Amino acid sequence: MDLESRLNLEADEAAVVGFLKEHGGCLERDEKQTGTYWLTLHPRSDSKETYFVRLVWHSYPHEPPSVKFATAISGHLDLTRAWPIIDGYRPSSLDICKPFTAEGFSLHHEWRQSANAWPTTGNPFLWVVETLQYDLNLHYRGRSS
Amino acid sequence: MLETHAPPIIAVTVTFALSKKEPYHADFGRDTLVGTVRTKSMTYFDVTDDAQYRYYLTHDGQNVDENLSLGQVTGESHTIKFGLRKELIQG
Repeated sequence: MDLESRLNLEADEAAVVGFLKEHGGCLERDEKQTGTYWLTLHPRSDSKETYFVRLVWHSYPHEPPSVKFATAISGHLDLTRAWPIIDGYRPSSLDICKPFTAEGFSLHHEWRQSANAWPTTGNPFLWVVETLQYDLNLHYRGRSS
Repeated sequence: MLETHAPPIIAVTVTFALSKKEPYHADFGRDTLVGTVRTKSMTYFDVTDDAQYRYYLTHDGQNVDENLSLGQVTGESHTIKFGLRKELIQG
């Protein structure tokens, strides 16, 4: 990861940590890979359920992150039961087809030239995490099998 | 008999993750609708609703009903902090 991206991420981390703390979650940096973070999230309707998310940034804030659900921090990324059931979240494809993930933009190149283009202003790291948390709070229908 | 009085003015703060601007701050009467605060904060952050997406004020992990008054949301508190979030389309 380039130095600019690393410094930008470090500058924006604090707001992400604060947001997650307000919602009972947390953020951890991956020890081995710069630009990789692990989120712990809980849906508002079922605080006993815990979801782990790996975010991988390659160029921040210029490109969206890869977003995948895992069985644990540094856990398996290829199990559907790690995923929540939310419209646009595709456990069978292990991706989120929405315009805040690298996977979504890879499937929909037209988003880059539309109103859903990846935003680079403000704190996009916080925006991605907010989006994940609010999808869990507002659109969650249980855990995938 | 001790009486509690809800404050007539509420200090509102709205944060928006995708803006470079500082949070929006303004005082409103407690009868002001949440929808009015949403509109004014969107003007401050220079964003508008679109056919493909919409902005919502959030509080306590949920979208706030625009038809509620600030007083109904805050109770007896004289301050409140909202988040402004953009609802995305599904892929």
